[in-house]
Amino acid sequence: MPSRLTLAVLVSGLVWLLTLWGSTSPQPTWLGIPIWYWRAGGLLLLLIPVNAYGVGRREP
Amino acid sequence: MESGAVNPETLISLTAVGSYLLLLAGIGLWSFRHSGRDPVSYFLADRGLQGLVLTLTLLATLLSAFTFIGIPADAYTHGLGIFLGVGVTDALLGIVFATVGYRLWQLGRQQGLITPSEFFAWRFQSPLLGWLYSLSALLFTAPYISIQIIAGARTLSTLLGIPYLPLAVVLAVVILLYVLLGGSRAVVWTDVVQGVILVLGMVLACGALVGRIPEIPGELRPWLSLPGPTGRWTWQGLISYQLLIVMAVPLFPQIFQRFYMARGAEVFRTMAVAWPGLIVLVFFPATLIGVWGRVLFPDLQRAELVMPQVLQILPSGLGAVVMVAALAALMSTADSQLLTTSSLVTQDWIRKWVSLAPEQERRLGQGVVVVIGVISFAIAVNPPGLIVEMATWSFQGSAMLFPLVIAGLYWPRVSRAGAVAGGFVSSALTLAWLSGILPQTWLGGWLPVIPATLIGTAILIVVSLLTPPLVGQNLGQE
Repeated sequence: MPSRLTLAVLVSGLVWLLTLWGSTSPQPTWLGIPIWYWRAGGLLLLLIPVNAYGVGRREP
Repeated sequence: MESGAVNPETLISLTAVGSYLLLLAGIGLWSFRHSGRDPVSYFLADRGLQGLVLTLTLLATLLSAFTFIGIPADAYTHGLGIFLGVGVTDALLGIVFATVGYRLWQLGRQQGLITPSEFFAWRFQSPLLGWLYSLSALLFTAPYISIQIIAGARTLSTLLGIPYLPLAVVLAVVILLYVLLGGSRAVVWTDVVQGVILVLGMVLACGALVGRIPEIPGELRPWLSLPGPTGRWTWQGLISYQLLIVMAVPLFPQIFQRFYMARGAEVFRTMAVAWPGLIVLVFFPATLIGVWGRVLFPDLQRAELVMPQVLQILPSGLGAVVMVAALAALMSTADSQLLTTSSLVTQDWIRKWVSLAPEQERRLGQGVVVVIGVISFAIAVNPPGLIVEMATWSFQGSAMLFPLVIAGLYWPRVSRAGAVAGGFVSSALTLAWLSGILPQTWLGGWLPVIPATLIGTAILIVVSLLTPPLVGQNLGQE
């Protein structure tokens, strides 16, 4: 079973791949901004819980 | 405007900038009274930084003139691709800091390391590699300090109508003042203030622009997708930038040294969690501002003027806040670079040949800060190129030893000969391509440091497998 940190790194890699999705097309847009741009920004916010899970608490 | 009268908007801006600079000087004085007199106190804030403080100082140190002026300028010219190239990658650095940074913190504490070069010298039992890192960091960081002064003075000059040179002098003197007085404690606490201001400033600037932007015209559609209007963001270009940032940022001496400053292991968890959100708050609006700037000011002579132009159309109070945020971004990088390069000179070079008491080491460090500050200022007087170009050059210089850090932390089989061979080949190839000695046609569209580190890594692996590994080193654990 991979460690939590390894899983977090793998999910981060998946997030990175998904940020590229649709970036070659200026359409569709929302509020004048392409959807792929909104999606990339939103996906990055997913890294907050992913990192919280992956890094975990360490002994001092 | 009548001759001799001060424009109210200029007065607000001058008051905001003056108050901000006074606050920084005050933090410098406070830190002077609360700091110890030894090198660990002066350079590493007594290894006592808590989670959010370390996060904000890392953020303020990383985000610089390149972020505040360079990112909107790049988006103005090449479209939204810079968000994927730099913003996305910077957000992913949270997990890199929490793994690589955590290991470096463990080793720094265990071995009493002060500078990044000491890690290379200790891990590979090779003073030569320590000096190689130290030299390359000095060579590539000094121009980057200049970038901060250039961008700050240019921005203020455009907005306040004051000549460039006196502004550059004021900025350099204030930074020198608080770095000299308070050392790393002053730098860290000014970073905390600056980190908060710069996130707030970027969000406010973007929010204020939202209502003023007309529909993006059809001819600007290439700006909204890859590869952008100039074709810069091809897959090769994008991945080159992403790899460059992942490799360069942890090796920036001012970032690397911050890992040693953490108080405990828990600090890295806080940082990993807070980091991605803060990066999105800065880069998402910064890129949009560049593209919107293209709609509002389509005929700028230089793309770097887009952010100063945007500041001029914001309501005066808000424009002053955002202008201070821009100053915060670049001053917080310059001060950290000054202090870290000073530690490289004193700890890696002078102290190796001269025995000094802790108080003498601190004074020597202060002297070196002044010398490096003057050199950087001299470069800033006659700026050699565009901010983005200078930054890309500096990034590549920092990235060229990345394979050594990874091998040193995660590959027990690495040998001293492998590390030395890989490190020198990677550095030599990067420098040869950057300086034009090797033909650019051999790069196949990649940034020079990418093939250089790939070849360096291959040599590191092969030579390490052919020579005896290093033994007897405790590398810590996850």
